[in-house]
Amino acid sequence: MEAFPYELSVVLWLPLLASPIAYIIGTASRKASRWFAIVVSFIDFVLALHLGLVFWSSGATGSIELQFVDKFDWIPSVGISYYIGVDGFSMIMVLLSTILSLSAVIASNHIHDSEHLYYALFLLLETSLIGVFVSFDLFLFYIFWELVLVPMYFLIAVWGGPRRKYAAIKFFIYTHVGSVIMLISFFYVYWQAIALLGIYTFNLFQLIKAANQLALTVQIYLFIALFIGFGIKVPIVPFHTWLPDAHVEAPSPISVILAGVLLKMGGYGILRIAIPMFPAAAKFLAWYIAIIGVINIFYAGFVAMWQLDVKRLIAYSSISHMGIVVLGSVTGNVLGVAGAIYMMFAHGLVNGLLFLLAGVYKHHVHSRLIPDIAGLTEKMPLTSAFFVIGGFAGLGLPGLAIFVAEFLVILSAISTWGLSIAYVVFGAVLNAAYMLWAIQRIVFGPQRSEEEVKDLCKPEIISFSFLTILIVLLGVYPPILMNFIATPATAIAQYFLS
Amino acid sequence: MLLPEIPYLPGIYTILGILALGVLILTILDRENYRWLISVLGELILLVTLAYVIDLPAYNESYIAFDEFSRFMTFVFIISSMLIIMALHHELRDVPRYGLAVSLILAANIGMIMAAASLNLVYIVVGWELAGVSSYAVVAVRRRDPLAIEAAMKFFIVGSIGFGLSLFGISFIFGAVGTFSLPDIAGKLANSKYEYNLLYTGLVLLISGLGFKMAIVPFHVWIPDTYDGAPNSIASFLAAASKSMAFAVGLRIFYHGLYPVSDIWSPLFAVLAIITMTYANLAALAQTKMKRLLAWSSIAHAGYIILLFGAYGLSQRLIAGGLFHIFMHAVMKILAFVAAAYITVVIGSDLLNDYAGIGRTQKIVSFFLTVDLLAMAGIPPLGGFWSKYLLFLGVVETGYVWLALIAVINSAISLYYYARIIKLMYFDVGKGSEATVAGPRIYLVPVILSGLLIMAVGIYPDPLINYLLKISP
Repeated sequence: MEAFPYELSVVLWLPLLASPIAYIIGTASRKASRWFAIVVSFIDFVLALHLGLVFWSSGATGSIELQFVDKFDWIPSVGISYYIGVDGFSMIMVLLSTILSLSAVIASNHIHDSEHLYYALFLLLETSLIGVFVSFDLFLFYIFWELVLVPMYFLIAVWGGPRRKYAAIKFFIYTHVGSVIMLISFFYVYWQAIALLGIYTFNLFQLIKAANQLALTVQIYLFIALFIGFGIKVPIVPFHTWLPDAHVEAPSPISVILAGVLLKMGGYGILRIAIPMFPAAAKFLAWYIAIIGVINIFYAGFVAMWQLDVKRLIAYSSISHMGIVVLGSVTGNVLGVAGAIYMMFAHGLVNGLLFLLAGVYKHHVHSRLIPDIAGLTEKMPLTSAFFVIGGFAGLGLPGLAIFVAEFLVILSAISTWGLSIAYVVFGAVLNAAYMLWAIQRIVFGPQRSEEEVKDLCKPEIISFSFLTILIVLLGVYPPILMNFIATPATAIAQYFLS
Repeated sequence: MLLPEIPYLPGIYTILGILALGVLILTILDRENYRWLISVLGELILLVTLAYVIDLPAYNESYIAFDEFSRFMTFVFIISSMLIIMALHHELRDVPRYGLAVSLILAANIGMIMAAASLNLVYIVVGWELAGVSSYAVVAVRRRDPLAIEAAMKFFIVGSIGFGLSLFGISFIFGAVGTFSLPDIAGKLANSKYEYNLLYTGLVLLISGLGFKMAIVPFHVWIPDTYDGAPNSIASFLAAASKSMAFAVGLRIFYHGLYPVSDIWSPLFAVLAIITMTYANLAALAQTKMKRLLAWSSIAHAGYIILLFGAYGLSQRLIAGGLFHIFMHAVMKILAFVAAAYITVVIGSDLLNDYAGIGRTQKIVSFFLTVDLLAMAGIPPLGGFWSKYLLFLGVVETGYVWLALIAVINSAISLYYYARIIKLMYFDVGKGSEATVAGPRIYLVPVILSGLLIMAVGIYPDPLINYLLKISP
């Protein structure tokens, strides 16, 4: 099996090219726009899957070389090129983006307002998300990174809940400020590369080479700048407040993308850019970052405990899980890094599923508050079943995807810092506590609502089953993903050894 | 070779001659019912000029030079004028002497091209004043409108003071070095054969005079009133072409003649740049009328562009970035003013609050205006971003990192007032939501053309950047 020429570029640009078409045909027929978006996301997913299979079967999983590289000079006079490619890490993130985009677009059946615009923006969002994960030119990366904000802002601000404008602008300002801080760091390294290597370049690998030569103190400042930029996206705890608002106000399919893919951009940036660029600083700050990760896990866990809104609860559980990603990425240990990456993928699937379910409650029961949706098992058996699976996955039940990641990260954190960090295990307990409690109240609680409610409709069942199968599959057979992750994780962990 | 070479009329005179002929023809044709003919002829004359501009081989005489710099600046003037005449055609439909307006624009072009191409202070001043007088008159083209007359008077008085100041300054410079020729001035200054006090006084006066034309704080007071009172397309002409000429003249004088004493003028410009962009960006935040906001944004952009002088140093990227931004600023301002003219027709008001909801009713114009506002704020990948990027890159290269940092912060502030318009257009509901009747189609032509230009340059700026990197004034 071989990849077609420029297949990665096609995966990247297909949704963007389809976006105006979705808009145009949507003005004629609303249904057409939806079907068109589904078909495009599906084709994109199939192409990405094909790339993934080629990647695996060609044995590229064992190599740190980029695959499917498309590289052209774009603006050579300032050193900007169109440079895309994937390694194992990027590959699974591309797969995750396309999987969740497909699920979310299928589950967008509750959107009835200006559908053509919705699907056009959605497809634009898909391109920008994939772009973040495949760009190896920092400028291109930054463009995609910023481009994500635009459709996301509109999707929240137009189709969101009652406080949507507030949530959208908060999201925009937080992440934009973060990316500007990040950009300053990029530019510093860019100047450094001009001075050290004598060339104008935004090529990530060249910049890494230049940045590695910086003095430790400079590295630390720049690392902190990058960490703030990426950390706001993750989000790390003092900068997390945009997330619950954005998640709660966004329409459910968009929450899926927010939690499933957008947050991963932060973790991806830390692992792909911040650590390789400033390994000395990362090593120096590892302990502090680990503490930030631990704070994330516990703080968000406790806050999640007393949430009454399902979406808010899931949002905080996201923050808690992202704490594990942050902790894992600085363990300096192959297993830890692999666990962090595994968590990014697994969390995308699990929280994607949970947010979709929250959307179902919102639209079928007209409420997301736990007391209102309690005890609906008899009326909505399928929804409840999926919620139980999602909840169990979220709390890290062995045999489901998140457990693998949690296990790896906690294990390697202990192996790096010793028993002083072993109390992180209680974070997992906390996770279990709020999740189980929520499941108990929602699924088995006393029924409050007497009105007639419908259970899942077909597109929802398809979309949810798809995610559930993946969650189970990754839980029982981790090598599927580990094959992709192992080599890049080793490469990232290497930076801590030097 | 696009057009036959006219014997005995070398280089730039061909261009100036064609334009002068155009002025003559259009003045003769100045009749009410020849409106279409006048517009088409005006465009054609400019098109022929443009063909010559692209075609002419570069040459250099002692007092006038058609080098790549003049070629590029001429290109900017002519492209701007072509776009503006399309809008003028509709906007001045109530003005009886329309032919005069177009011919004045052509006359201004003669002056601007001459000023940009001259290597001699006297020639520069002559071209400058020709452009100036033509633009005073064209602002007053609506003779019965008191606002327009006020605008024109203000422009005329301030412009004359500015002109007088620079003339005064130039005479001081002549007194200091004993020559008007820029290359000779450079030679004398390099050998320190000059009177310091005379030179310094002359420089300060010259900078003030140029400052009026460039619209930098504190010489900016006329700008908001004049732009507000003039018809939109004329305002865009002032912002795009007339201002570009001032920068071209500045580049000529300071980079060609006065560079040996850059340690005198460069700090002055650095301070002016900081004051200009900060003050203008803060003032723009408080505006409620679109045209005034654009006026302030134009002042802020002048602040970025004079970094060319404030951060003087050996950097090709600085010059390329400056020229690029001059060009982009011209195109962006034309788009914005013409789009504002369109929207004013549609909603009957120029107040920003009345723009609310226009994004849903007037889709094309709102889309391009949004692109333009984002480009002015410097959002990648649009033309306005690359020009700003290259300019700031140059500023850092010459060692003024702090200056670049201030500029970047200012750029970030500006995003707020541009984004506010976008928010009003798309998210709010107001007068714009009811404006379902389409406006004059012809306004859309310059809007779409310049919008496409901004996007095209944004997506693939490399050829232009490479060309600009070879230019030195």
